[in-house]
Amino acid sequence: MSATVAPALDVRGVVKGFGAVRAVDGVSLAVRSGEVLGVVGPNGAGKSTLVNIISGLVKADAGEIAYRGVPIHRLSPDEVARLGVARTFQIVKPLRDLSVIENVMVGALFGRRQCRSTREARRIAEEALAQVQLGHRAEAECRKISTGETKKLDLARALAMDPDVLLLDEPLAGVGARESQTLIELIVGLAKSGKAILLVEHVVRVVWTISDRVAVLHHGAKIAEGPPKEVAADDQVMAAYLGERYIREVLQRPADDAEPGVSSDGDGGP
Amino acid sequence: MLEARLSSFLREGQRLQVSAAAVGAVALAVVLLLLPNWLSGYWLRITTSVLMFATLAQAWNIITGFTGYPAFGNTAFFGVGAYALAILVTKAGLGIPAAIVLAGLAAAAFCAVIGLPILRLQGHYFAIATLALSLFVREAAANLGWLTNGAIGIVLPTLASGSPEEITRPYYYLMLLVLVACCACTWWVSVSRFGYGLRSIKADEDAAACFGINTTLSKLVAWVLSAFFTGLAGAVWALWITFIDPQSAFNLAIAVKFSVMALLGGLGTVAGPVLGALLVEVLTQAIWGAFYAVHLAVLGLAIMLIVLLMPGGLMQLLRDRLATAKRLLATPSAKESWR
Ligand SMILES: Nc1ncnc2c1ncn2[C@@H]1O[C@H](COP(=O)(O)OP(=O)(O)O)[C@@H](O)[C@H]1O
Ligand SMILES: [Mg+2]
Repeated sequence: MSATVAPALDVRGVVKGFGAVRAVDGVSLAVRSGEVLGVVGPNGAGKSTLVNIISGLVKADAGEIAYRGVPIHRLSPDEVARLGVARTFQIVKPLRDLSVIENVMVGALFGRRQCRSTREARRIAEEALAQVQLGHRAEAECRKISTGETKKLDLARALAMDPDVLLLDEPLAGVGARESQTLIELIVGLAKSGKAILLVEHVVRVVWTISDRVAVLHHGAKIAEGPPKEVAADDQVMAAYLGERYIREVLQRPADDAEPGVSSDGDGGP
Repeated sequence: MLEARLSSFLREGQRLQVSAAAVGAVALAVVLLLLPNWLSGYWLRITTSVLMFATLAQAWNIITGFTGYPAFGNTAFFGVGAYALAILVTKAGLGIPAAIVLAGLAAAAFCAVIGLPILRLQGHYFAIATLALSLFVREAAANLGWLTNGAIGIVLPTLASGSPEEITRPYYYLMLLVLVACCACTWWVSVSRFGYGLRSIKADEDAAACFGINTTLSKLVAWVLSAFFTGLAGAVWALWITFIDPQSAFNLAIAVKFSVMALLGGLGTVAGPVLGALLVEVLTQAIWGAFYAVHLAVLGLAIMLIVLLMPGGLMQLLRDRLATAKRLLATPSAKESWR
């Protein structure tokens, strides 16, 4: 990849405070097309806030964000979405009163595609649901589907928006082991097809296997970045900031396990 | 295989539903057009009132049922429509049809101006702000004497003379026209891209924005549409009662009534608010006769019971029945594949 081509997503020096808390503290990241950037860090590290800032939902106190070289940090969330940056939510927000397929149609109607006809949107939604293997639930009411299915629904909606950049905030949380595998393969495939993917994930094992690069956030700051092997080998960083217990437990846990114990060991670090 | 069969079965069911709805609509249209020939003056007035409240409930449904913004202060647009019509007819000497349309547009324009700041508020704050707006406009109407005649009010010319039936007839048809237009608009909202945007906003406004929906513009357009039809209803109402003053044109009891009707019938559906208006108005008349002294208390109790017993409104009740019927119709094997 040529160095002169602007990355799909370029985050520079983003800062966000909530009162005394520095949720995001000068984070810079770049994601290129065709690449998965894994973002890990303990609870409260600022991962979701970072996703909120990129998607325009939260305004940063400082810093710049560019999408294919165009600044987007002053845009509203709907403008960012229409440009081609789609996101999912850690706590999924299915649109109640709409069926599963209608939820996904919203992505096709209002995302970058801007479908004018609901029929066309339905066709696209059907494809997106098939991609996440949720086609059989298309007509179900979204309040009646399982947690894992809402995660898939959320991802399908993001896909229906036809994004270049996908921001996935813990897409595997609450998803069973077998379905996780489906989603992991899908995410890898999406990257191969040229999308830039920022993958926030608590299940570190997964991030390590499918990310091209990994960034580690702690207390809002990026403390390490690089290919998974290098970051994992950086014992000093991992032990000092995340705690050995974190690595030991998380790396050895099954993928569908929730909430690893974190940060208590690491807080003593420099 | 079974899934394909089941879904084609459901689609067939939908097609039958659609054609049944079309036949029903035509029959209903014929009945509504002929109704004035069969009703006494008394019942024609009640029916006209049902049409008016159905319009108000339906217009409220666009902003509250579909978009999730509880605009109790929609009475402001009712009053603005009424006053705009009265002023256009008595002071500007405009013809009735033009005056009605302009009155609706005046209410819509007023909404477009005040909408942006108020729509920044959400939930209870929005509801209270719209109520305050309604009171503010009433005070303005009472104090802008040069334009509105202040507390004295405005007297309007009558459209027809003769028997009570003949007097009410033109207002019945005007109100019917407004209601049909309002229902057509609501139906469009219920199936259109725009409507998907509104329903997403109702479910989760932040998420809706992240899906690419221009929430500010969508909310504003929804409320302006709501204000337009509310203003049209206010304009026809002013013609009908031939005398308006600030107390009657900006009457919050009207808001209580149309919101109860919409809630009862089912928010976010097209038929619900109309059914609700019919039911409440008929109940009111029945209870009025039977419990003359305490009819408001009895009506309130009846409405509370109904809302408590069917929180989704009449339409939800009907839909549940329909879903049960569909389940019973589906074969057991199809049911298996559905899981
Ligand atoms: N809206 C908010 N108001 C106040 N504090 C917030 C808000 N959102 C996040 N925070 C705080 O910012 C920090 C980072 O949170 P978050 O981004 O959710 O972390 P993560 O997703 O990595 O678990 C936490 O300390 C959290 O309490
Ligand atoms: Mg988070």
